Amino acid sequence: MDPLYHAARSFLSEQQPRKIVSALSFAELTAVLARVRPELQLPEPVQKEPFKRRIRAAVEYIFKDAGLTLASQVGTSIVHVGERTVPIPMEYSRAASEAHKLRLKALDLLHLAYASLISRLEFKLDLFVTGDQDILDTTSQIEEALGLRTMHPKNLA
Amino acid sequence: MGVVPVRLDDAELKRIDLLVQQKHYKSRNEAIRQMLKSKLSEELTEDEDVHELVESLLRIKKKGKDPLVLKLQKTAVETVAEGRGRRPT
Repeated sequence: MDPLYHAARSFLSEQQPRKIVSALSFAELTAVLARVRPELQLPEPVQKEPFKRRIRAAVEYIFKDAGLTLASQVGTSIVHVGERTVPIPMEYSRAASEAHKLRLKALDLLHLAYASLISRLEFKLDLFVTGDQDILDTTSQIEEALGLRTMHPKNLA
Repeated sequence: MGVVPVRLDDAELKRIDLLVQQKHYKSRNEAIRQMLKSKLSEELTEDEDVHELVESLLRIKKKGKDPLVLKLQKTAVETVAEGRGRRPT
């Protein structure tokens, strides 16, 4: 059994606090399920569906079963780069502007930038929950730069 | 090309003027046109309708069985970290 199974079950089975999921995490969850195709077991009627529908159903089931809330897009920022002035997703510009402080990989930066914007614009976030060690190693810098507290799922109880 | 008169409140106009001052757009007209163009280009998602499939999974769950089983060869954290090309906890 996965070492985080019980901690995750316990966290996800509680109605409070509300669990907010970014569109980036939604895409990442879908990608993970698609990658582990042979290891994903679904009951007979669903198992017969085309792979794309199976994965989408599994993601939707996880959201419903765990009571997850998908955050909406956070808007665009206008940036002037090179010869162009263009609107880009706001989380990209936020990630770029905080990169020098956090020095994380692009996907980590994007997750954190997105969460900080969700917290400012849609749902106030108390915690950013992750099992990612690179992010957890940068906890104090993240709190200082983005105002987000990060925590490993095993420390939630 | 058609002309559509639109009323904007002062705060919105101030923000547009600021973008023009900062040379992001040449004029109010161009700013509003570009913003509209960007919004209109948003695609409707080709999302799958899986409502019935999900309902069948939730019915199984209600009966006390886990309808979705992941028999991962690695831990969940390792599997996600692998997708990000680096070390898990």
